Amino acid sequence: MKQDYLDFVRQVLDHEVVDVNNFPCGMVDDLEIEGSPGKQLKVTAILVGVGAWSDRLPGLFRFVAQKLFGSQRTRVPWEQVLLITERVKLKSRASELGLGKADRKAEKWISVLPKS
Amino acid sequence: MKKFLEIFLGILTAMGGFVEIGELTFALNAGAKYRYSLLWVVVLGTIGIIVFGEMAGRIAAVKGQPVFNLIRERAGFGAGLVTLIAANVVNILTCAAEIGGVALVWQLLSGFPYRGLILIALLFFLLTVWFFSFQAIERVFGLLGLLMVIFIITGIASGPDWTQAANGFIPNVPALTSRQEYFVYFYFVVALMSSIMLPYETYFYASGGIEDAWNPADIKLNRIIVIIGFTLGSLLAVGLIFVGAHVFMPRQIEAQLPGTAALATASVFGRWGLLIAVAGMFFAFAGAAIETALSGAYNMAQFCGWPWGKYRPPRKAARFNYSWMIIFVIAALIMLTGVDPVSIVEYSIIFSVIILPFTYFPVMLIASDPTVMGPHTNGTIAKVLGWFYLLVITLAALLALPLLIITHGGQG
Amino acid sequence: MQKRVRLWSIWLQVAILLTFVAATAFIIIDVRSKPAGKSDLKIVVSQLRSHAAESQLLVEQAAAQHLTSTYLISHTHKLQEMAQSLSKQLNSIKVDASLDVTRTRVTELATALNNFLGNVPQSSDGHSDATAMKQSFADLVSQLIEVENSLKE
Repeated sequence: MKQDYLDFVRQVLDHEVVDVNNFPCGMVDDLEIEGSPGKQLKVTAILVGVGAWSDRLPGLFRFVAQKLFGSQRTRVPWEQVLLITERVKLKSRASELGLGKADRKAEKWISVLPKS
Repeated sequence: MKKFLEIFLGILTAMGGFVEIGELTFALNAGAKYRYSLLWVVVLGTIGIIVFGEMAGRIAAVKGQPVFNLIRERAGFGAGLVTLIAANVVNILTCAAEIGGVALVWQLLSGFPYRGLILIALLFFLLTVWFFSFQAIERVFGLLGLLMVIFIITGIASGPDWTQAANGFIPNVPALTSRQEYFVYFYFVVALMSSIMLPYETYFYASGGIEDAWNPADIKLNRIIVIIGFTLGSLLAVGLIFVGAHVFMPRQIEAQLPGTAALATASVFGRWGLLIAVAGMFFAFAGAAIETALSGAYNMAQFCGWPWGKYRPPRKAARFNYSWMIIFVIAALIMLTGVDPVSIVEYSIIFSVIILPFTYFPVMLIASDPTVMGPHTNGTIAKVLGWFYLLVITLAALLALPLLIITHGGQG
Repeated sequence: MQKRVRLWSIWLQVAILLTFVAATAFIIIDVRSKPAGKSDLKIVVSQLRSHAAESQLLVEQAAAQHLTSTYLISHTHKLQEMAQSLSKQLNSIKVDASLDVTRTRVTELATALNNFLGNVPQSSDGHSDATAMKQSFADLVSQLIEVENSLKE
């Protein structure tokens, strides 16, 4: 069914992000929107990471979340979005966009175990 | 032939993995306290888990999306995060109880100190989940969990009153002597239903569908497995109620240990009955411990968008693998404090019914959405049953905590 | 649809919270109307009765050679641990003065249960020991049922 519009809340926000190889690299934790009251709004980037979703929490929880997990966030320009289905697929690999850093760090530790 | 074998194994695995320590305890005590009066709850709970298990499996096959992706998408970040934390607290508590159950069962066979066996169980689970594939784990523990069939045979061999038992399948409330006793009865209704519809089973089942690379052609397989497998699994719960009714009720025993359940099979089948029951409980509890730990890891990874799955090499899903390891460790630490596994699982079962509506509502919405599911959207039966069960579990969620408090955890 | 889902989620959370508050208020009112500690004492007695009855079954099965010796020792030990825990609980329950005599009696029965359980592993060796032990547990169960019934409203 062809759609004349994109519902960002329903179709983009809180959806899984995958890179060009369909490898999971986070969730759309927030959106960066440019514009101001009375002017045209434009989505300029998707934001991925603790720093993005923790900002959506109420004050005390945001403080606790950022103390525990940090406030790192990765900005992926909207132009990098290739396709939107159940997942948001990007045009490039995760590493090229600065995504999946925590996975690569975690990979180093687990690689010492046999059969990893 | 290969397809037939796949279906056959899937059914047996679903059946063998149906019972865990909480359901064992609640079903035995349901029979011991109320004889056949709670059999209808087993039917109610089984149909419920079939309805939502089928939907979750169908979504996994059609969209390749597991449950916690859907929860975040449809319920929003806030409600999704609350559900994630609640679901994983319940997973950790249930995992802890199952590890405790395994240690108790090993102690019955070996006589070794309980706390030492908890540490051995922890090592056993870490190594098993690390080295074995998803399919191997599912098959081994699911199929060997079928040793629990000894309880069905014991229940039948102990001479049920079939007419009265048949009446027990019709919803009823027995005549009791005080208001408090009615509260306890309804506590058992909620707890028994919850123990059958535990959310981790749906999370695990749907994630397992993706691990097995299901596609739309597997929808029929999904349907056959949940309907036949879970129905046969519910016979284990019925068997346990019969055992409670025929062996424990006349003696006024309320089972609080896995060893108590084995006494019942020993009384009918002697030493072999005892050993088969103990072995069956080991595989059932161990399977449940692995399912809850993996379910917790699936939940975290799916909510946060991490790569996940046993089908990936561990280094490619590092945070997912850390998650289940951490869950096992936390669960073992909880049991090392000396807390009773049966008490822990009773609380986890009650709290899990509170989060059931948060789990199943997004599943229901997605499965009913034709723009998402295409021709595989919910039919009339699935829609009607789905909405009916949402009402039922919402009511149960509202009653669970008050009943837990009023009845002192079902003690009276 | 999305907004409806989120609103529904919020309403459900509020409903659960309100139910919890209402239940807490109910408990406070209900507890105040009962003699202090009676329900706690009854719960302990019920559990002791269950353990005593289970011990009787255990001795029966051991005498019939239906159990392994490891199972018998391990399971008896677990029942003893639970009985000891209940004895400790008895000392900490606050009861009305009118229930002091009952509490003392229950404490004696709990001690007896613990002592009998200590002899269970030996009972599997001799038939006559098993019969006497079974009778001891049966008597204990009867006495505990009597106390339990006296605590019912």
